[in-house]
Amino acid sequence: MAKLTRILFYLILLVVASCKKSEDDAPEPVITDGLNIVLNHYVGGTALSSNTISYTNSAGNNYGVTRLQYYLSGFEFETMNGVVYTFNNVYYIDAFSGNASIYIPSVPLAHYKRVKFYIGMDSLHNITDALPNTLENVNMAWPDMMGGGYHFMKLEGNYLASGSTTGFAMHLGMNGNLVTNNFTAHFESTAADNTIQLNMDINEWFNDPYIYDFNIDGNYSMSDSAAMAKLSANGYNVFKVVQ
Amino acid sequence: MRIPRVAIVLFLLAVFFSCSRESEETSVFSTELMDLQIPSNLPALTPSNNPLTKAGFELGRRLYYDSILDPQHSRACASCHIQQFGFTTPRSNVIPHINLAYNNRFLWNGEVEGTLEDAMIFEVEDFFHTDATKIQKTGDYPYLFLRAFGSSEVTTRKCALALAQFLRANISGNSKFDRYVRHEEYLTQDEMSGLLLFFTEKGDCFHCHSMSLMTDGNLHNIGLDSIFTGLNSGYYNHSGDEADLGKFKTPSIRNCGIRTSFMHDGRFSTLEEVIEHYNSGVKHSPSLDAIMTKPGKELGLQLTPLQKQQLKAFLLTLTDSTYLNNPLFSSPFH
Repeated sequence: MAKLTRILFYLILLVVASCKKSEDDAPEPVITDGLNIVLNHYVGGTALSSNTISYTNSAGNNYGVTRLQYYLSGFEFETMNGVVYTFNNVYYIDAFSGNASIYIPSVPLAHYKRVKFYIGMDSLHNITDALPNTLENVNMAWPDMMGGGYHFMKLEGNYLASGSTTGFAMHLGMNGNLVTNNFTAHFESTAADNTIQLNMDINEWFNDPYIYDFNIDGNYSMSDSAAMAKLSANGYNVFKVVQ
Repeated sequence: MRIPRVAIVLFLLAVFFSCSRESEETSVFSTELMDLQIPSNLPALTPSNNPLTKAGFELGRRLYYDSILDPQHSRACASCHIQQFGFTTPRSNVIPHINLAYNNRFLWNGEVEGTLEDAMIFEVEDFFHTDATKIQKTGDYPYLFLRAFGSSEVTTRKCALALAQFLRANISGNSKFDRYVRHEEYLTQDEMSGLLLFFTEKGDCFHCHSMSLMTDGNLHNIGLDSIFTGLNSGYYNHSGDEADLGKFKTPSIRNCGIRTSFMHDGRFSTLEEVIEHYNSGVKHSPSLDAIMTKPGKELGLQLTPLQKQQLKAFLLTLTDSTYLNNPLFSSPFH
């Protein structure tokens, strides 16, 4: 009888053990370098909001923004010691899709003094189908018939023209219109804080060195090389780094 | 301690039967994934937490074609979304079901936002008001749910998940245009001229009907009206924002060549009428899409009769007869 009881005991153990869920050990947290860049979008000092014609650019155009999609790429960070780290990834940003941010792994924790990046992507990437075949990239395609590659930026909205509302579509693309931002930016990326804010002031697209007026320079830039050239030149100064 | 033998025997029997029932359910539950081949010119599908299994797809297909979703049994999804017509209904404003896996806005006015699963939950619970208990008592459905989800319990959420699996697999990517993009087939001269109109600033169709899905999935006011009332107000009816007046979701124009109604209200019945709208019929309003306000196009595209014909020739290359006749997407009741 004792033997039977022992067998029963082991059977119960077996049943209980087989019913127990297997639990994987929780993964060890991986501590890496890396820089988190939060994109913020303003017009003047006002946080961007969609669909309202409440902004004024240097040309005096009253406008609102309904779409702002663009790429950032070619990030380069220079430390206080003059060491330069470069990164080739291309990042898609939609200003109206919630929290716009990018994370660049393997940016060393350090004290930096300069940052450089492209709005758009270099000619090696600006080729049809060069980017992963995602929905975002597909919608940013620049048709082959017009040169191929991708829109660097789509900035769309409405403005008041002679008292009535009409649209504007500032589309930027083509290798010659690549925008480089290269500026002094002191920030320190630490284990406790490896986040910086990259703030775009949309008014700067219409400000310097060329005052861009929708009524004079056009409300539609794609296939208008003069309009795209002005936007491209103005783009050098649209971002600021804030930590 | 003395344990009666009868108790030991009863215990062992209980263990045996509980295990055998569990193993039976385990053996029925099928997690075999569908081998979904995405054409190389279409975007990759975003990962979903609703895995596309063969059993889930087959259940979704049954539900799509079965009026059981409707408590009155008067209509199924497929009653309006008919495969041979591109999963829409001729001479109606039923929005076609095509490549829905890529969408994050649904219905003409885009009021349902989220994943395909979210859209199907809307369809099951808010559109059909499906009674899961009826399905629970019907035919082999409990078995099909067990096979697809590991439990025979029927819920409206599971119905939605199965429908989403079926529709996620409904991929159209084998039109003549697709084959041209993949360098598998040539276009005629007229088709090529139409393609050039479509994908350049002359026609400027590509900003909304973007390659290769032929929709950007976004909302636009394309100038159908300048005064907005009722359903013609579009997304405004959902958002309450005047900037959204007249905005509707860009439909995919794949298979537009076999359709006999166009736009959210079916106001046009031929491709010629659609082209003529863009050519000369755009109405201005404050919410008119920025793309429609290009200088020089105030009077429309100003296409010549030949260019209109070429544009239509290109649009006809978007017909995907493989999709329209794929037995995988057809009714399982035939």
